[in-house]
Amino acid sequence: MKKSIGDNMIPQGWSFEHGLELIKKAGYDGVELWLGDVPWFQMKTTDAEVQDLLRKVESAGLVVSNVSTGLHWDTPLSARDPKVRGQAVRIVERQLETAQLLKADAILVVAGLVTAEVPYNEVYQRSVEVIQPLGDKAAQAKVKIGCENCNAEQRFLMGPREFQLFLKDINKPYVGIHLDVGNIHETGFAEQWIEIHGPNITRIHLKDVKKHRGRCGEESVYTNLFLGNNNWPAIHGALHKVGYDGWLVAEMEDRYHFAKDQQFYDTAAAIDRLIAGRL
Amino acid sequence: MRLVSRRRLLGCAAAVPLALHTRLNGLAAAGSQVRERILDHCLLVDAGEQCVLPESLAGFARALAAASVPHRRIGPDVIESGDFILVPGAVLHSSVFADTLSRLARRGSVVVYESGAAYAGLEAFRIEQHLLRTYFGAIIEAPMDLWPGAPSGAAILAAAQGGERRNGPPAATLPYVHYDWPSTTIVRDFSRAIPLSYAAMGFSREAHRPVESAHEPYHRPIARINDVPVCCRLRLGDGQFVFLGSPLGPHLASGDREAQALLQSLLSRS
Repeated sequence: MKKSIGDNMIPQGWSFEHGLELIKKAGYDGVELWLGDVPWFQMKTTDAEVQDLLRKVESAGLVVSNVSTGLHWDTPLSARDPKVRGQAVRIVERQLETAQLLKADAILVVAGLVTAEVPYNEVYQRSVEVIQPLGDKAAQAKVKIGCENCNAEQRFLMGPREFQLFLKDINKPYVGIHLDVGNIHETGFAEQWIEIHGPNITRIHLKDVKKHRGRCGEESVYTNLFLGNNNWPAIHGALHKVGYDGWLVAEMEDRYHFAKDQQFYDTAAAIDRLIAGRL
Repeated sequence: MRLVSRRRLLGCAAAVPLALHTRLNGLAAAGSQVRERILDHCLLVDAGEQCVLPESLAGFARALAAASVPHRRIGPDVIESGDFILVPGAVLHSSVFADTLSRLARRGSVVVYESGAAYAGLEAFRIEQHLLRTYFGAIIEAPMDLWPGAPSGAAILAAAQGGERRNGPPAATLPYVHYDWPSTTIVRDFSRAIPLSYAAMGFSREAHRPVESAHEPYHRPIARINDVPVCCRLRLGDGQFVFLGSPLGPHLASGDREAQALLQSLLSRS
């Protein structure tokens, strides 16, 4: 397995190059690029500029593990408004295009968003219909779409078998699950999600979760690896069971308040322990 | 701690949703190869009252059907010769039954016996223990609880046998059975397993290499939970007796990918 971390972790005010240098020095093999979340990688970033990003990544001795985005939280693929849906689709298409330019073979997509206004059944059906043609485009690009399990934030696809049914309904080989082991919270067990989805896992997002904090408090429910309630030996065992040998991508949502670069080193060391099973 | 009654166990088993057919696609894809390999003599033994894990029987039946493997479902009293004989979730209840399975193996059948004895009562376990030793030379020990702390009939069973409660191996929080034959596969455990005796059966504590040769040991462990052998393969006459001390069928029923791959290997390599 290989280690990666998001470029949206790069401390504010740092340049992309400076951040890549830190990522390399901390021991990562790759970087996850977040479309729309960082100044250097926006929807308006041109192909030439994207290629320049790749040159910088390669100069730092890294590769791009995958292309993610948080843009679908404001522009959901499941929106009722067809114009918004069109924009959401364009975001995925741009992810696919940039992934090709960046020599990455996977992207992260938030597949749908259930709200008080847009109910579950609508979101389910619409998401399936929107993602199916994107699955064909992904196959042409040879880039896998990983639908992330955002569980409670999405209020959508809360269980592993339901998620499996969703992927079955989409029924496209280039659409799988970008499995975030920190997103499952009190509704299940990450290791069981890993077992059930096995070869359909496109990438793994790593973070730990303090389940007792719930989701409405002032403190983040997320925390650094090994500080929360995830059963990491079980997660290691499940990854081993299903033969996962892909990218482990750190997504540390609760950031260090001081010495922000230290979180890169600490997280890399923790991932090394996870990979080695020294837990 | 209390013993799980058979009725309760059956009730639980019936409540568990069975396989998703879609999960069996991989097995189905290999079906044609399997069909050619095992001819038309695959028998699935429904041990009736002696099948204490009906969920397991259902799991094997569904997996075979999904793979289009020709097989016949028969009762324990009418087992005839077959290339491949599956006995899911059973307890060896009589010397006649044990002798039948032994005789079929010696004549060239591959008999896969999945023990449900960890879920049976003390007396049934003792009978199976005795018959396995007598007819197959397989020496089993008291069932292990693989999830320490969970309510367990096995604990009572072990205690009743005069021994201490036998918990699972030290790292039992990783609930997997590691197979090295017929393929290297990891399958989830099913809460209890029947260990085989190292000393009495002459097993090495070192993991076996999955090497096929004419000089294979007579008894060979094929799966372990940590270091503890729970499944073995015994050569008998012209055939084989495969003992599964950790149930595979429930995982076939729930669509476990690795369990399906293991059955596929078993069918094609035995």
